[in-house]
Amino acid sequence: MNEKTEEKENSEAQEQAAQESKEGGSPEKAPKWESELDVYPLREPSDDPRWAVRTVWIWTGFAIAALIFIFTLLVLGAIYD
Amino acid sequence: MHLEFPILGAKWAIGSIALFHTAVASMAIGFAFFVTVAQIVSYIRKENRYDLLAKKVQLIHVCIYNIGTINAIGLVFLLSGLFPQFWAQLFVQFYWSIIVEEFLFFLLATTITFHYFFWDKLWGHKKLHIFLGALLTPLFFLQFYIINGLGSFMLTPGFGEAELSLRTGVLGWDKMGFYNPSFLMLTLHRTLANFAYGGFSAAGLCGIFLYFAKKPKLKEFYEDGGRLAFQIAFMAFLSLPVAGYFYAHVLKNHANEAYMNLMWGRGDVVAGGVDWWWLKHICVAAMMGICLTYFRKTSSADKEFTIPAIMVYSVAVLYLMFYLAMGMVMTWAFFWFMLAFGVGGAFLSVHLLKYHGGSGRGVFLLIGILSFTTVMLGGYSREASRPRFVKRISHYDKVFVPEERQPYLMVHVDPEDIPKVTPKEKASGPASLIRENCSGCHTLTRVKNYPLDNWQVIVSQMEAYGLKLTREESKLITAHLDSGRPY
Repeated sequence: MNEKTEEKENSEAQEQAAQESKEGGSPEKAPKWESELDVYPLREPSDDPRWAVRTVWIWTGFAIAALIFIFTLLVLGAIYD
Repeated sequence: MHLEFPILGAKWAIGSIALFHTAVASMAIGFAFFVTVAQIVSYIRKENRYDLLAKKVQLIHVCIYNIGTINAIGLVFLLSGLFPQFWAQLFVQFYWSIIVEEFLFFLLATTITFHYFFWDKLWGHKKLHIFLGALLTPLFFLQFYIINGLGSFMLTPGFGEAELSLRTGVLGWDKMGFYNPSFLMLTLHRTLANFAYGGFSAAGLCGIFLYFAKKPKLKEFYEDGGRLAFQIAFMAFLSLPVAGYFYAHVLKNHANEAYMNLMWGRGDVVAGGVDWWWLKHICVAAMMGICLTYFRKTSSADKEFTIPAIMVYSVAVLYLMFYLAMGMVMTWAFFWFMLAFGVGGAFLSVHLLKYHGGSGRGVFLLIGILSFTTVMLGGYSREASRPRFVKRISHYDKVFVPEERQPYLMVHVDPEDIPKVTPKEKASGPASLIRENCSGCHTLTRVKNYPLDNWQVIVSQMEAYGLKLTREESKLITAHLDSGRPY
């Protein structure tokens, strides 16, 4: 899904929300995120900013390594005093 | 040195900050689990609403995690200032555990921050994003696994076996003290309780938003999201009374005084004329009634995350039998009270659903409040039932470090290089003796406010508590106190 298709879907969702608001006759102002309820905005991996993906990969790797390290400490600590 | 906390006093200062910490930290753990489940449900169904709810909950999570962490630092400051010997003793036994705990704080804070702030940047790597959030649950588990080692040690220190492992092992790691008798049950009970508390709190938040939502689409969003949170919490909540039963068994055998205080309503468990542990159980029974009725009422409706009626009835029968057995083990009053409040909760649930036209907003909010109340009451009762640490750790008045390990704690200094210090002139006279000896354990105000005149008995009592006096000093002190002269 490219950005144009995504924008189109979002604007359609916003229109639909506005229509619903009229039908319901409610004076409540629609929150910005209401239009996001109708779409699950998956996109191509290449559309994600590279720096963000890299940061999260590096952090995930570090966190898993740290988890394994702490788990090992606990196992060794349970075996040895 | 003896520090005191103004107005509240040391005990209540520690108690209140610890309770506040329980309120936010347990919620943080429960929220992490809920966020992951909601994100997975959303991904499988390709529906954004559960993911959106997860994002809202994660924002609150980021806030409360930070509050909880800062609060934990405050707790450490208070403990090290107000109860320095106790804290020093914990450091001798659990230094490395606390260091690992600190490292986990760093891992968690960073993971939560990345998970929330990269939410909209990773829609092309959604699985990676969900996995990052899912890492929070094992990290949290490890974090409270470690802190439970210390917490349960305070309740069941393992009858001095701890000292044995200190003598032979690594200084700052006390295996026998860490894996003490109540460690396993505390960890199991807290894991499940945190999941239940986080889920019920998320449902409570949905309930609050439902009160303000007017558009059908938004109402549906909070209604379904609240039910998902409610269901996750209910599943964890169901196991709690059973885990609690076995936890109580461990206390009966290994922390009998705490067990007696809880079961018979003794000591600080009763405060202001209220048995707070009993009140907690009443809340739990009412929650059970509310949950079962809510799921029974929604089971026939064509809604998501409902539970089949047959399962609701089966659970109701199972818990009726459980409480019946508890009545046999404890007292029949326990059974009848729980039954009455369970049924009361059920009626209240029916009323709230009817009053709000089938909406769960009232029930969600009520269960959120009750869940918070039970966590607070459970935390208070647990700590209040525990006999004072000083009574059970023989080395409390002198931090215990095995002698053969002491050289490792010492700095190598040539005794010749140490500058000679003129020894302070030893105080003489009865007034000085009183000031020096009495203030070693308590304030002089306490001596001055003592209402009776039997000073000889009191001084003998103090000697029995460990005050070291010569016969002559004892006579001098008693005579001075009897005379009413200033000191």
